[in-house]
Amino acid sequence: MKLRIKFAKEGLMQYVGHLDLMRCFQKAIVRAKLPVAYSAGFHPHQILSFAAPLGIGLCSDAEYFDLELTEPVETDRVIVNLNAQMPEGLAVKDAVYLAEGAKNAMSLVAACDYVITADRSDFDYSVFAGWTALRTLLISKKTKKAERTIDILPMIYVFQPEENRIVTRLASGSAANLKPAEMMEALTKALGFDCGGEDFLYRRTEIYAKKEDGGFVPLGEATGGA
Amino acid sequence: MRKTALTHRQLMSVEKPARYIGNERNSVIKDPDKMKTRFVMCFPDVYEIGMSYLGIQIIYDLLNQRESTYCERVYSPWLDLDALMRKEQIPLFSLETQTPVRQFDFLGITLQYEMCYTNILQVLDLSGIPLYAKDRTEEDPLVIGGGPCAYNPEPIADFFDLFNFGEAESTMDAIMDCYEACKDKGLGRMETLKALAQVPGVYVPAFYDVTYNSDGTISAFTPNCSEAPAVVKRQLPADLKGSVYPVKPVVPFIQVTQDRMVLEIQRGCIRGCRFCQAGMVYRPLRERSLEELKAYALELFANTGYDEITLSSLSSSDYRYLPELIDFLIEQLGSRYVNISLPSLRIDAFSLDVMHRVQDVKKSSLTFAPEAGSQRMRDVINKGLDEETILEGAKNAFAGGWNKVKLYFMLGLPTETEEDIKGIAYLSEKIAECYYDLPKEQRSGRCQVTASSSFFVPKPFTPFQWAKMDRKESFLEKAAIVHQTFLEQKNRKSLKYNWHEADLSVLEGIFARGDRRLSAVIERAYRKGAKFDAWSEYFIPEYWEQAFAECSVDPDYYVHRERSYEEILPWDFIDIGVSKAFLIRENEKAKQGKVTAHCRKVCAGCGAVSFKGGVCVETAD
Ligand code: SF4
Repeated sequence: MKLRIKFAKEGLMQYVGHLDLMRCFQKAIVRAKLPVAYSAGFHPHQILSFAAPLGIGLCSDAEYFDLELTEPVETDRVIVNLNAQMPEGLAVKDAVYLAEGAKNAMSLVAACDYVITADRSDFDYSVFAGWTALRTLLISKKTKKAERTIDILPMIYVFQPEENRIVTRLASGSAANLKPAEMMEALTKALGFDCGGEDFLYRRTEIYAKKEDGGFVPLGEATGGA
Repeated sequence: MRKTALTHRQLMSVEKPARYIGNERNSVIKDPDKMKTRFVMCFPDVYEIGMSYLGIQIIYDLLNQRESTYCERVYSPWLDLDALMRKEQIPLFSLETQTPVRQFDFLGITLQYEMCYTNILQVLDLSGIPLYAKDRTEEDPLVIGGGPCAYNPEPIADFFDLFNFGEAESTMDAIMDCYEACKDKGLGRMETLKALAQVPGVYVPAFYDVTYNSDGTISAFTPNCSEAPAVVKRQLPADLKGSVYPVKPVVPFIQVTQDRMVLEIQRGCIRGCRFCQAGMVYRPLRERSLEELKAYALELFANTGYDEITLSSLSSSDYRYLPELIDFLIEQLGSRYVNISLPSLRIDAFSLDVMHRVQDVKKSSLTFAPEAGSQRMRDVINKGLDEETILEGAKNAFAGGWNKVKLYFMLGLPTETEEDIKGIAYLSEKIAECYYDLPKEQRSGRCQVTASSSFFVPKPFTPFQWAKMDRKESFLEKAAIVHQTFLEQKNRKSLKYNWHEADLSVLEGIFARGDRRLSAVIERAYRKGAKFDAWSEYFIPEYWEQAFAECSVDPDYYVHRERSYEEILPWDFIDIGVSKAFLIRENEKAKQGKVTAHCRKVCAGCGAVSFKGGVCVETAD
């Protein structure tokens, strides 16, 4: 049986990279004595998969991983036991059992919400109002083979400057993936500001799967079977 | 969120910022305001190396068990942060509370290898602590050193306020108690050091004067105040049973070099290899009890969640309860998906059987450390390993399914001849032949025998402490001869030979047996930019060549001359428990190629019996 775990990552933990975070959870799961399933072979590993890696320096309210157990444990107990093992800056928020045949978290990822704030307090967010006039937003992406120019405008589903922050929803996952810092770097350049992606702080607030009707549903609710 | 010393922007501009944030599992958080003593423990190399070292975990645990003391950690900032800290004038800080190092009462520095000496200066410099002890004030911490390189502290003596000779379990409490008593009395730095100098095992370099003869050798090494003892004796727990064990080690976020649980099964060694400093300065061998080790293993697992455990000791095969311990680990931890790694095992029927049970034979390689190619040479170094045993081990290993073997050797050993070094290739060839002698159906393809040689560096407190070290050119010539001999072997396609760079070994040799005149050279090299010398890609020999020349110090004096038994050696004032008479005896036997049996066969009377513990008083039970 598979569980989808939702957790928040912030404070000092934003400086711990994705692979290290995985290792941190693997150890916590062992210490919490959860009946986790292991793969076969000479080097068995826990059957555990994360939805979407979060870059170093980003906080998040909603990260997800799927975990296979060998026997059922009450979800409340999973949450309490795991939280007893969490370092400051990591908190398990929820755990839900997946229905038989449910898709894994990673394959579901379609979009992410981010809240973006400038790293200085006197920043005027209204300057971004002009973004609606853009018809394309080009960036060059390096792949293994070559460098190519792509238009990231279609990957920006929502971009909403507010009084003291920007709220966005960006394409995410294997088909199209846009990182918020990448977007801000391109946007500030296109609008001619003298700042760049590294001048903002980013917080992921949700990860979504796509619904049949084209709408988005948080991964924590996309736990049904096929 | 706990405060970080670095800003978000600074953290984001360096590689692996998690090196600098603390917050790891089992790191200790105390209220610094309620502490009498704040100690920051440093391993002067990058986090991933420093965090792999059990000794710091022992000291960390030991000090934090004291109610009045708070021990934190610090490591060398990597080159990117180093540059940023200099540019933006950020003082070096501890991991736990992110407090500037200069605000601590003590900065403890562990000395595991000579090539970290410039990193000591890096740590002091970035902390804003004067490099030389004589320039420090009441505002600076006491800088205390310990660890294997402390057994010749002289090249770095000027940078330290004090050294601790011995194992933390038997010295740290006494040092802290003494310090706290001084603090209560409101004593100043000098008075405090005078009190500390009287704690057994403590050496305060400023309290000793060294004078030299015209040929550069030491003419006298004498205390200059009544508080300093003429001879400082190494302190150690006679018995490890019942001593504390760090069962709640700090678990790093980032992958470190030794990313696993460490079970120290014993300390010291019975073997008496004549080149090996650890084998002498940790005498006598002291075993931990089987019952305690079993309990520690389970606690370590419960407290860390690691998926691997390793045994730590100089020679694991000599632990008398090894079979029982390994059975226990396989049963209790192997069943919970924990890998068991077994370094420093002698290859014999037992160890092959065990390795079969814990590793994937096809993927793993077996390691032998014959150290020398010819039997004569192995007898000179008292390796206690004959060719027959090596070949027997290899045969069994190949029959057991292994086809990769690693061999470790040294070049430049005392009395070495060309025949001896060619022996490295001959022995490797014989091992390969063992493989091809197997019936074809027992083989799987070609075997791979990889021999590596390092250059022999004479170390203090070994029978070879008087020996002349080879020159760089001679090392490289020897390596070339060995290489050529490999190419002449029948099975050369199955053999591979690697050798180390010689520059680093020569510098290591200079520091290993150096004296106080070297501190100026180390400082000069550091000022030129030398740091992370242990990392061959960052080691710049020119800095050192210039530093020696500018300080008018002749490096050859320290390495390329045979010392006489009468000469006062810089480390002679330390009593490590093994007597000079024994070392002389062993050196003479080495010259005659005579071996000395190990402690369990017959006591060689090394002197360590004075500690009244371990193998010296062991009864078969
Ligand atoms: S005194 Fe004897 S038994 Fe003890 S360490 Fe020395 S040689 Fe070994």
